[in-house]
Amino acid sequence: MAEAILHRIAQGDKTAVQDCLKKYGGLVWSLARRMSANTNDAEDAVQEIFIDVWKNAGRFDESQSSETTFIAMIARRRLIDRLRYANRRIAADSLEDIVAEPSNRADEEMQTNIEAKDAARALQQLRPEQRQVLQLSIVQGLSHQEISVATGMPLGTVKTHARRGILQVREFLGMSSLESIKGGAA
Amino acid sequence: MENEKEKMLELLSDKAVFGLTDAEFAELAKLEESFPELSDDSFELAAASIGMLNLETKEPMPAHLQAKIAADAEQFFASHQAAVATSEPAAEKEEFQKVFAFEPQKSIWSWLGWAVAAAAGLILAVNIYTTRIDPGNLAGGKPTPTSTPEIKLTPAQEREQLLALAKDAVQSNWGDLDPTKPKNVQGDVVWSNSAQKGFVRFRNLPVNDKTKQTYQVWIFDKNQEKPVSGGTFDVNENGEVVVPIDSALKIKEPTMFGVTAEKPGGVVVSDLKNVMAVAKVSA
Repeated sequence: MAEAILHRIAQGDKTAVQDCLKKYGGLVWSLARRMSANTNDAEDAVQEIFIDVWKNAGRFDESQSSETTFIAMIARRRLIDRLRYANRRIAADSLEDIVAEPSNRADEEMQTNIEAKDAARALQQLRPEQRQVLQLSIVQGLSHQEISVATGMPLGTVKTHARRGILQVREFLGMSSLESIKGGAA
Repeated sequence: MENEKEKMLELLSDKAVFGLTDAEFAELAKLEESFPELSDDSFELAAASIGMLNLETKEPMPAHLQAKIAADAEQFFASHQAAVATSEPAAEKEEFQKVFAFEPQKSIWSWLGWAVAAAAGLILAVNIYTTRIDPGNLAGGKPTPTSTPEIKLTPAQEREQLLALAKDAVQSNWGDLDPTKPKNVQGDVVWSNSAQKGFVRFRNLPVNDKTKQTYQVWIFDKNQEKPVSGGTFDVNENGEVVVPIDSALKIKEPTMFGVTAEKPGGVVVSDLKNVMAVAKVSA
């Protein structure tokens, strides 16, 4: 099996940079576009994300996740950070449309992405309201307050659904390593 | 303690799903100090997996952005290597201090140990002196510096880099020399006089039969009587073509760029009969 691109980057192999951009550039760009207010913001975010990727490459553990998920995590972390600091939110043209969107929709992109397919299966295991909260927050980028307004759920309930939901998804995906406190927040 | 662990779990999941406020970050950092064994990326990895749902990845990352990131990576690796290099002596110093920072021992055994070590050192020094080899006679005796492989940018990326970095870079779109006979070649030329570097980009330039003709770039310089060749190229497939300009002479004041169809191998002076496109450059 070919050596992970991130391991090569961690070893200072600069040729891996192009491989990384070629393989994950589209993913990072798409995430940035989805979670940024405009193209300029997305471009700035992508630059910052890749610097984070170079810095964190040595932390990649293939026993815990795929390279794709790890890079998506780095990207998401930076994008959330930017949203938080800039106090910006992606424009939700119609909140009702988002809420009404089928929560288990399997589109073309999902078919080509094994991680997304696994995530979709994991979401299927959740209660509908947990699934809805996670989709609205993670996929649509809504804050807990916005979800509360959109769904009519009390703020505390939104947070509880989110916490229980992500806990279950994490366990379904085999990412849980916190056995000692499993279920602690339930 | 269980409450604290539960709180940490809540913060980890909130961080992954919604992000945290500064106060929450500080609280999590404190809890992570108390329970480092509970700190991991699993919540964020789970959220990242969900974040890839319904992700539209058909739109590629813009080439200019890719070029910027590649340039950033160059700088990052260069500064990282420099940081490692400068930190090494400090590390050595620390190791030195660790090895030799000792309290004087008064035991006879410690003195005996040092006496044996001194004698061994003396013997070693004599041995090295008597068996020394002239370094000049050693093949490859000196360490050979290894060069770090350069990142190879595509012409499209180099073009974007030039546009981003060269302050005097000019850009001009291709047009028809004779509008009554439009060739509909699209694209542009980018040129930096200070870098003496440029790129031509084309769409709709027909695929050429290499055995019969080639395309040649021309640079019209105010200080030259005749256009200067900017190199030849072939179009092998439909779509966008980006070619670096390979100027035969130093360009001082470019006024226009052109591309012609010429015989294979190109020509020194063009009759300008088959002009495919021209692009004027504002002074």
